[in-house]
Amino acid sequence: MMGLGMMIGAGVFLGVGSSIYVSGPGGVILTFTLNGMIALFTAMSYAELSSAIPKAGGAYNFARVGFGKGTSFLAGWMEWFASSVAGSMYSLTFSIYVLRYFEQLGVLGWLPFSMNIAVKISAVVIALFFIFINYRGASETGKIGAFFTMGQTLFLIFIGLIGVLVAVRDPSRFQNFSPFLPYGWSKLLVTMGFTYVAFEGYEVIAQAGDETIEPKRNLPKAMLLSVFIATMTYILVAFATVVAVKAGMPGIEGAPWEWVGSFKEEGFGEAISRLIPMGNILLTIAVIFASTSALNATIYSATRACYALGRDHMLPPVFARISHARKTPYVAILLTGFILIVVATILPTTDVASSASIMFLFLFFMVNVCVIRIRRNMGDELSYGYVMPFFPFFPVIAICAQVLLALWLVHMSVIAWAIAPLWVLFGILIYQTYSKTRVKAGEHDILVFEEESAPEGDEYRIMVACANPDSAVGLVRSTYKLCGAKEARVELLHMIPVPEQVPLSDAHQYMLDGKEAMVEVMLYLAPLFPVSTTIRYGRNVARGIVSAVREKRIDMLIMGYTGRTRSSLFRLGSTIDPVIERAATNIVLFKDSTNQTFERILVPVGGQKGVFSLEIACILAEEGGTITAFHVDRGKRKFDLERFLNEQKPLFKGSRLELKKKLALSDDVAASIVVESSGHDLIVMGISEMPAISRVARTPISELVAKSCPKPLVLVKPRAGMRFFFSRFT
Amino acid sequence: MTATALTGCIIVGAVVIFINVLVFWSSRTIDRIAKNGSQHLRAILRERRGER
Repeated sequence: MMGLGMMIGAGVFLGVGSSIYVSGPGGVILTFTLNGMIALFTAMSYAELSSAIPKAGGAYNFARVGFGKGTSFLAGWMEWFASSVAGSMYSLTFSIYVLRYFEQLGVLGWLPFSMNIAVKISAVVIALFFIFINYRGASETGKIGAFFTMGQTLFLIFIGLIGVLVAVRDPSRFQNFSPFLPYGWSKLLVTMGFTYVAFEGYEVIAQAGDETIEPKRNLPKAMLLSVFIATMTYILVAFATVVAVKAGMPGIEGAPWEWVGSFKEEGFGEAISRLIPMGNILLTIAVIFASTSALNATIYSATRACYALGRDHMLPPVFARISHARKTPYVAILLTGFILIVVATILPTTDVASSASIMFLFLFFMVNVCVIRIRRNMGDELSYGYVMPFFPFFPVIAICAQVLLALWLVHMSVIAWAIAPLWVLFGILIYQTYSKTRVKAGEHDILVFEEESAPEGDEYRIMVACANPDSAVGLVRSTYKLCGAKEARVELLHMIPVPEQVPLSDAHQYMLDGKEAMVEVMLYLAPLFPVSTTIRYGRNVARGIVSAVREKRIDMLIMGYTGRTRSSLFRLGSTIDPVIERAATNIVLFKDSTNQTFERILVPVGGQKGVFSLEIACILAEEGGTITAFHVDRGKRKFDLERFLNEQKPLFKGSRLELKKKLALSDDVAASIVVESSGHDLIVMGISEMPAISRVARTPISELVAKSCPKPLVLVKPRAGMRFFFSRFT
Repeated sequence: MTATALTGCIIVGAVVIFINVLVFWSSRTIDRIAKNGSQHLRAILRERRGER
């Protein structure tokens, strides 16, 4: 209800008249139709994300899960401003329409100042009133919002239906649509961008994510339905506005659409007051309903964004201070009110609406990118209540449209185009100088349950992540050679996932499983190496492993790998993929290679990454064993195997290992490796790093080998440098 | 009716139908996932994988 309240607000009252002025009678219908479609695509992204992550926070929260704290700060920062500025727009709408009514009644003659100043003063007064309402608490907020929303929606549908009825009874009014697009198609982009703010209600629904009953079902439904109702209502209302008057009526000069357009923001009011009897008073009441409920919802939304930033220490914690008496975040409410009132006072109405639209376009752009990234990276481990069809086409279309509309808005308001990027840049500056170092370690979903003290000193640290208690001992047996060769200190990590339904504070129920496995592994390793153990409970195993690697400054991470993935959304598995991508350490994955001895090891090499594979192979090979460096040439002859092996000679110094080399000529590297593996006990190869874009077109070689080769396999990835960091995005 | 007006009307009509279909389909999917739990969701994902 609140989302609908925010949508069917001032956007349509201001937008219809201005759109007719800029793009003509057909333009206004097309504007709301096409905007409705883009809004629906974005609402589908919101619906999918909030069904999977039904926490309060909206875009801020999605960006945190999808990209991390920097992007999420920016999302929260933009959301705060966008909602505050939208609030300015709604308070201005309220003033424009209410004062217009009183002016027509002729009771404003005594005012000592111009109408423009009166509008600004009244906007400030209504804004202050609703800031106070929000300060008083959420129960009042909800009741008032629901009541107003019902009223305004019914009234707008009523106007629309009257419009249709009038046009059917008097078909000559269809002549009002001629010329359909007097200024051409390009003007559509301007009005679409300008009125986009009228569709931003689903952000408020997402904000209230954790306060909904049955959120996985109700959140996505509410979002999609609110966009649907809003779009259909807007189209009807726009139609009614165009056919409200007809040429030749008293007081109508020129073509009807030109006459409506000449009033710009007030055009809708002028047209509707002539369409229905008592139109003026009914319209004013509707505007009071609409703009106040939208104003209320935006203050609520902006305050939540600001509060969340303060709570997570991205902004000073004072921003999240709660009033003792009212239990509301009063500092966030006051700051939101400050932005709202300053913008409403200083800027002209069109620039205020454009600023809000640009900021929401930026924000929705970010959410559409998030939905793609989250489905690709974490799709298998999230429990969705809704998945959109034809993924990722809709978000991609929405992203392109939103970029285009945001750029085109420069034709509507240059001021808005100066303000929006400045706010974003200011946000980046604050993040870099303040938030980055102070932000809370964010994910409140990892619980360290039992941990021995972190070791001091500079010795080499190997972490063995035992995901599966049954295979833990086997994994540790096969890794003791690595531990011995590196004279390492061993950290055993057991991550146990706790389902969302169980509070982390009750995670001790899962204690026994983890403990038994760890004790067994400890008994095996403790006589040989210094060992410490950690059992962690969390919602997300991958995130827990990555944070443990960072906290304990691990040099090498060892994991087991079954070779099976439950979903094609993942390359090597829903836990392994994110760990490979994010853990800044050397990684070694064992597949079917536990508890065996290896005499003949095949090491496919193709570049400098092969050095780490060779090093691991040397450690794993039995004394007197053979290591075959294997290179598959695709005919390009870029890699000099001979030279590469000469450079790696020091690795074999002092050992009794035999190094062989083999060169093959083939187009299919993976198939050649699989064929060659038949004469070997084990394959040790690097994990192919490919830019995300290339992975869409072809599967990396290491994945192909992992999936098709029956032989034991060890996949390795040396510690990533900056180059790899950038390659993830290109 | 001019060609522009005709194109405009066709776009409006097509988009309105498209929006209706999408919202109807989505609403049904949400209900099915809510009713059958992750079983239905897995079926959707499996179907997608097959398509790819």
